[in-house]
Amino acid sequence: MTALPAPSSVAAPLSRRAALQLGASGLAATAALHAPGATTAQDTAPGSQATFVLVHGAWAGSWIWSKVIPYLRAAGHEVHAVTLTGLGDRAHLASPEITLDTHIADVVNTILYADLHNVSLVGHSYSGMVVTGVAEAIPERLAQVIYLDADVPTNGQNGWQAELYPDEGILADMMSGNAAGLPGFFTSDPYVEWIESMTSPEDAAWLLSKVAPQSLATYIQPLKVGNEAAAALPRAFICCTEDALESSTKTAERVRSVPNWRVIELANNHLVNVNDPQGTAEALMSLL
Amino acid sequence: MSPATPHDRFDTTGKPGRRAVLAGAASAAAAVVASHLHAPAVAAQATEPATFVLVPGQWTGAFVWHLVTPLLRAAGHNVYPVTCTGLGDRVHLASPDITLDTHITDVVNTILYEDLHDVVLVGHSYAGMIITGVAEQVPERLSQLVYLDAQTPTDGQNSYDADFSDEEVRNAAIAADIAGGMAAGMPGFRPVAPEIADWVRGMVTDPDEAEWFIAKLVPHPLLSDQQPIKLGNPAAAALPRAFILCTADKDMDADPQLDPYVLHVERVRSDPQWRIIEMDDNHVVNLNNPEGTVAALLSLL
Repeated sequence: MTALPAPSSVAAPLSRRAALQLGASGLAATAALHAPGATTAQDTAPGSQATFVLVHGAWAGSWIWSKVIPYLRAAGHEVHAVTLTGLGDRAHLASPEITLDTHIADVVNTILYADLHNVSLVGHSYSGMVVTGVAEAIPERLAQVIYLDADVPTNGQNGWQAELYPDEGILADMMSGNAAGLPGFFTSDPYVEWIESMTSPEDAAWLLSKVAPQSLATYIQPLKVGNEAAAALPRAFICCTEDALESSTKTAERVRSVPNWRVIELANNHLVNVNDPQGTAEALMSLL
Repeated sequence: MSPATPHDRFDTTGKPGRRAVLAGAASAAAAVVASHLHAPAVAAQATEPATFVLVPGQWTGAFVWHLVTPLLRAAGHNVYPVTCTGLGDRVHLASPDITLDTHITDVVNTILYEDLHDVVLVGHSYAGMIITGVAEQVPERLSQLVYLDAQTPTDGQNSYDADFSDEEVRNAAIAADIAGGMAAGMPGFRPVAPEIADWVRGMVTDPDEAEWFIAKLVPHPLLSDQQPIKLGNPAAAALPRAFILCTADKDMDADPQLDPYVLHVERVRSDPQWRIIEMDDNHVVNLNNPEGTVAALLSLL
């Protein structure tokens, strides 16, 4: 296992103090979820048909979409793949203080600063939590929310609850960081066999060379859901039926009869964006 | 996952983040293997696409490339505009502890995690500091460095040293920036003062574009300007470099001290390793003339 940039086990006062400091001086743009001032809508990609913002799952980074993106761009769509703070190319910013709110702000600010509108917002796995929070914050920027075999939290749930984790599973996650000398984080170590069972040896090696420990606070923090404009957004759940996760099957059942939801089934497993990038891109585009 | 070494990315006293950067570089070997296995299936084109990594300057984010990026992509190239920590869409991570090394690592890790090779690494303005530091870390991933009206530091220089060779002028600039941050209630940052906004207004030719741009500028972490860069990697020194000089806002006959970018280009003009392109536009050519900027970049391939 190759050493990737390590998270700090020393509490890094990542931003909170500074953000508050800056926010207090009246600069709205420096606070986590605030818009960067008045903006005028501009077409940032002439000729593009739709705008996708892709958000990766636990331990991953924007790199996990690298095989999907070319299909979407080749079809003329504008694509922004976000890396969540502390992971992937932002692993050097890792800190136990990173929360679900940090990750939501990562995506909100990507949308605001790139001036994106009518966004098809896609969350994979854990990032169902993130995209749900983004919809709460800026529903007016979104065309729809797409859950790719992802968490669909109800009001007050955290990531583990949305994934129907039993207590022993939560405990195992919490202990995995300690075992790696990284209290405050959970690692993919207990999931290596599961990851290897889902994809080719080459892709498993690729994934495992890039995954990074994730801050536990991103799973501990519950998400408040209650914005009516967010609730009215069209949503879609893409359910991976091969080795289906119990939470995915139950989520598909739960949302299937809800009027603003569509459900698609893909005959692949949870790593469909790695295993079948073309099929994933086609499923996403079928929802436009 | 190997047991992680706590790094000192946010340590303001010593050598911030060096170990983290090195740890990132250590994963290069694995990433090389992976990239060959994962070439995007639909990227095959008549001509080989190039890979551009675009790094923004002071106060800005990836959004400064919002007109250039779609044009490069339309020409078939892979484009990765980076936002540095604490700025643009990463403003919620703002902290006075952010250094030049933080910004260098932002770019290094983008290249490593996205498995990028033969990168044309482009830095605008302050990002000349950043791309120079990135070349030190991962020269084997780069095909060339392009300084778009950007700083060209020598070993041991920080951003102020690179811009002002006159000590008195330099010290006055540092003092003014420190005082500006304190006066604005944000010590450790270089705020977007009204005169900065006016300077931008004077440069961006489309008034709507100017206001769109100014609305997105945020205070810049001052340590990133104050941290000296360490150079010494022969593989980095051997990389081809190009300087795109924007001449419209410069008096080329005046004392180079009056415009840092004249100073930069004078410094490299006689070096055969450098190619120099002059554009009849000003410092924000990437906003004013994206087609010309793209043409200049593509001429360097």
